[in-house]
Amino acid sequence: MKKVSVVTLMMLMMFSTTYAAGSIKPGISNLKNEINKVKLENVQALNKVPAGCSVTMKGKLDLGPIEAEVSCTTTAATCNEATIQAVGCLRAAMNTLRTIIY
Amino acid sequence: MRTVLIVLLSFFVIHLQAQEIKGTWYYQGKFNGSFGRSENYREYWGRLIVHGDRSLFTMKEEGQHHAALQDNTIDLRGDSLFTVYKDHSSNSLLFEFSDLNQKTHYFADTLFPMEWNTTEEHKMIGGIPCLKAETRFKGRGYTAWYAPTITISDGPWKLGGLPGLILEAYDDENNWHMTLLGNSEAYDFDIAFFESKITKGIEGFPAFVGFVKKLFSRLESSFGSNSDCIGCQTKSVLKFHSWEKID
Repeated sequence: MKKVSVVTLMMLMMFSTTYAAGSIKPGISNLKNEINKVKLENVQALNKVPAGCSVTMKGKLDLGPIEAEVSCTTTAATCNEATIQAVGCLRAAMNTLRTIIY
Repeated sequence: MRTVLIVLLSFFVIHLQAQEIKGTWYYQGKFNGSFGRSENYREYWGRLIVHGDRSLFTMKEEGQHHAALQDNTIDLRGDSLFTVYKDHSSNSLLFEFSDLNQKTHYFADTLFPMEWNTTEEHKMIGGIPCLKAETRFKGRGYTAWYAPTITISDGPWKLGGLPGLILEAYDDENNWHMTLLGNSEAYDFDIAFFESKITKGIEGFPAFVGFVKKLFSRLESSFGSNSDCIGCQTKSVLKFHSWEKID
């Protein structure tokens, strides 16, 4: 009976030491982190641009010592696609500037 | 007899000092319209017309305005750039600014506020001995080579205040560079036009800063509300750059 009590006491002590040291709690927390990571990766995968190419095109309004610079940066799957988009964007921007000025 | 000679000599010296320096000094150089962000150099002729205490500096592009031929550039540069009128006697400086409608505006600025670090370094420009001086002015570093033998305390654009005419000047990044080519005795320019501006009263550099900022914000707001790119996935970004620091 005495032995049983000692073993039970030891087990109880081990349990409380482990719990107090936090080795169970971080385990749950790690699991939660893993779940969040997977969720984040899924969200990223949904928004991801496949193997992209970034193109920047610039135009300007030249007043001599003062300049207004217009830039369009586009990212697309291919450089060709990105360039087409950037050209379209810049053309529209320059037209807007012309409309404002003239 | 001796006294008469001294008096005559004194008159001669006074007459020499009172004699106005007149003439035009011609410069050649370049200006990078993108101020170092990319290479957009154009060749310019500079002209400093001196009439006694007053002077006028202008810069005109050599040949064709190339920017006008490019699709992605709207060229609204005035006929002349970096135009500055200085009047040493009234301690005034006026400079020109051409707006979006190519309307010319004039603003005042401080005459030679820059503090020059003069050195013993020397070189010859067109056979004239010159000394080197450096300064910082409105956000940029400038180097000037001035000729102590030409007693005109002036130079291209807003630069000056050295004990001699500036024959060569450039900024630290070499975006703007002017070098003397030669001079002539011609000195005609419309002094009355600039003097009338000074007499009427003219706003200073802070007013110019306000004017440019207002122009930019107007452009920015019109730009933001005027997107005519249907189907564009990217929004364009508008940025402003100024040769002289204006913030």
